[in-house]
Amino acid sequence: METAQQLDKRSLGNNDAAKDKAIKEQDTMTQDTPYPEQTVGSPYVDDPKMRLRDVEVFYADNQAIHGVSLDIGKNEVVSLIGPSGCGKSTFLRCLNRMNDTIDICRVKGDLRLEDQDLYDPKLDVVELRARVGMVFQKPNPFPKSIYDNVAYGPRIHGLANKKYDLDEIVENSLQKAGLWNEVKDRLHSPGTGLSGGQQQRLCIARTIAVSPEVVLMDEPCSALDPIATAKIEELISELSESYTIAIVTHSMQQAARVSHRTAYFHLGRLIEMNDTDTVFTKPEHDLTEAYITGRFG
Amino acid sequence: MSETTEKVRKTLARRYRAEKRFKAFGIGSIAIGLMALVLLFTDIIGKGHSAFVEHEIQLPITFDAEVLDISNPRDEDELNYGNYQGVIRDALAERFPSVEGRQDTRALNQLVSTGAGYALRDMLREDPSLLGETRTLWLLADDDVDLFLKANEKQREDSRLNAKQREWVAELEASGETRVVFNQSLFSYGDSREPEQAGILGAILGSLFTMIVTLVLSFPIGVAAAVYLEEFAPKNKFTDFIEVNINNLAAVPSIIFGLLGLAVIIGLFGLPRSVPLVGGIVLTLMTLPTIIISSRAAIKAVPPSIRQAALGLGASKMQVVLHHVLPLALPGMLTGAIIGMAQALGETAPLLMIGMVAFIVDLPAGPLDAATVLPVQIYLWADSPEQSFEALASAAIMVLLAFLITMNTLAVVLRKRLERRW
Repeated sequence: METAQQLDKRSLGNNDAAKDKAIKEQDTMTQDTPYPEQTVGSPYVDDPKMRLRDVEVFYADNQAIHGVSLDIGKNEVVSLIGPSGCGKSTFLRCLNRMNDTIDICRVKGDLRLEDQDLYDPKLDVVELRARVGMVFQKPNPFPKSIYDNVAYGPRIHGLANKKYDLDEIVENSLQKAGLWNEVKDRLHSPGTGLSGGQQQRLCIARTIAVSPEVVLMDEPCSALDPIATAKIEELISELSESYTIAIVTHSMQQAARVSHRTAYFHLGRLIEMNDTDTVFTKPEHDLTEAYITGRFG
Repeated sequence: MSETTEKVRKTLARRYRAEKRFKAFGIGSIAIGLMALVLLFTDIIGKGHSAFVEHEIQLPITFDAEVLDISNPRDEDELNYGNYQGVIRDALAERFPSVEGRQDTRALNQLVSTGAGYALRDMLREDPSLLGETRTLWLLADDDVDLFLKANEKQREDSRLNAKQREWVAELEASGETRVVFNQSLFSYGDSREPEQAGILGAILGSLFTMIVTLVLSFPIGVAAAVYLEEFAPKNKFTDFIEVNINNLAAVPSIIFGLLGLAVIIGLFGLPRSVPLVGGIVLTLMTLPTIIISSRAAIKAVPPSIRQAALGLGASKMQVVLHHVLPLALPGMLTGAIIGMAQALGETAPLLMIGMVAFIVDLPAGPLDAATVLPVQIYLWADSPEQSFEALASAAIMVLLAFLITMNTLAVVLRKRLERRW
């Protein structure tokens, strides 16, 4: 018989709370360096797309995120970096309320998409997720055809009334995801038959098919080889012209390549947030410097 | 050669021996299982195969209007009350003219099955011009004659036929006036007191109606319960309690469900006894835990990444379940349902409690007609004094096994075909 906790682990996929604890016990190096009172750098921008203030996340009694405040600007690519278990994925999942699926997870703070309070009880989470799409760590196409994968979102949201409109959405999305030329002749073969990199681009196409305003990406390249990674990174740069993107990544090079601004998380706290160039060339905080120079991670 | 390599070498032989022993145990267990299966099949088939055929006796029958007491063969009433035994008796008397005395005549008349008369009636109804004609016909032999003819020399000594009857049958056999035919009545009649006229069609129909009721009730209820428990129910003490009790329910002896059916469904709700509807409801209670547990396992096996993908696109929980979880879990659910149904098909005990154990000759026309089911029919026949019923019981077991094997094969095939990869 499965216990409730096991079930939660399953639906969570990874257990950040437990990781947090393990890291805390292991990590002796960082104990000497104090956390800053306030986030270093410039976490806020004018006229943000998403305005996030004092975000705190708890797994049962375990606090995973401690008072994180930052802005995500319009058409900006923000990358969240930090050692494993620092809460960056948890934070990302608050932005489209994917944490709702975890029973023991509680979120506090003021999270706004433009003027909309994300945790307003009157807000329909279905509508929110249509506006804030998500790409996951492991490519997870539905075991359906390529066409049906991309068409699924528009179908459930009723975005296309005619077959013709739907065809157009599917083609556009696949074009934008840079997959159209590779799959246009086999739209009706299963999406699970594609290679890993193609599957991930299919998932991106599926996400942008609903025309979200913000796209969240949770380590989208961690399961891919360097060539597929390069393609996705190129794609992210192109997508930033029309979408706001928040990306969690373990690769600092990737963060440096694709993002405009970078946020460094450490044990559930936002240590530093600055322009990507500044973070990687002149980090203001010692912890950030230690991380990007590879002294721990 | 390094020290480690040497140490590893020393342990290798022991490890391989352990592996071989382990394999031998496995092969041994499988052999025992297969032997049990072979034993079962040889025993059942050895006993039951003879029930698939029966003997007939050739007699020149005269459709004498006077003896039959039929003037107009198109009149259904007259046809039904015709004295067919009379013409058979006359034919037998003609064949064995030397037989005299009341006792011997009666013994002679017992050679032909009482069911032969119905065959004559049906022939006359088909072709009224037979009235007054004489035809050489094959008539169904009595079950004791049938057993005697099927038996070998040694077994014949134990026959229930008396010395004179044996003589007559041997004479008929020697002159080629007996023959073996396929036992049609086995698959076209219901139960009967006369083994040669008894069939399993009634029980097959009863089983079919019971299974339909069980499937229609247990599959939707089981799947709905599993989906709710897996996908929607909050995880708390109460749902844990429900889960424990579903597992307990699976372990409850089936006769308890029969008692429940008797007390509640028949006693409280006043549904009739002996009907497949009640049987189906009782078997539903018994099958539900199996279906719920296997459906939950199938739902759990759907990767969480698929759910997350759909949720991330803004699908509602309901849409996630209907569009993604259910289609992916369906093969597992179907397999569980078929295995549950196979279990229910072979179930006897709860049906005894609700009166499906009655002697029922008529074929049931629907789930509200009194009926019995295959395993109960086997139980009834195995309990009967006539020796011929023993073979019939074995034949019915063969039919039941055929159904069970078909269902289990179907389960395997379905699982293989519908299985999807992700």
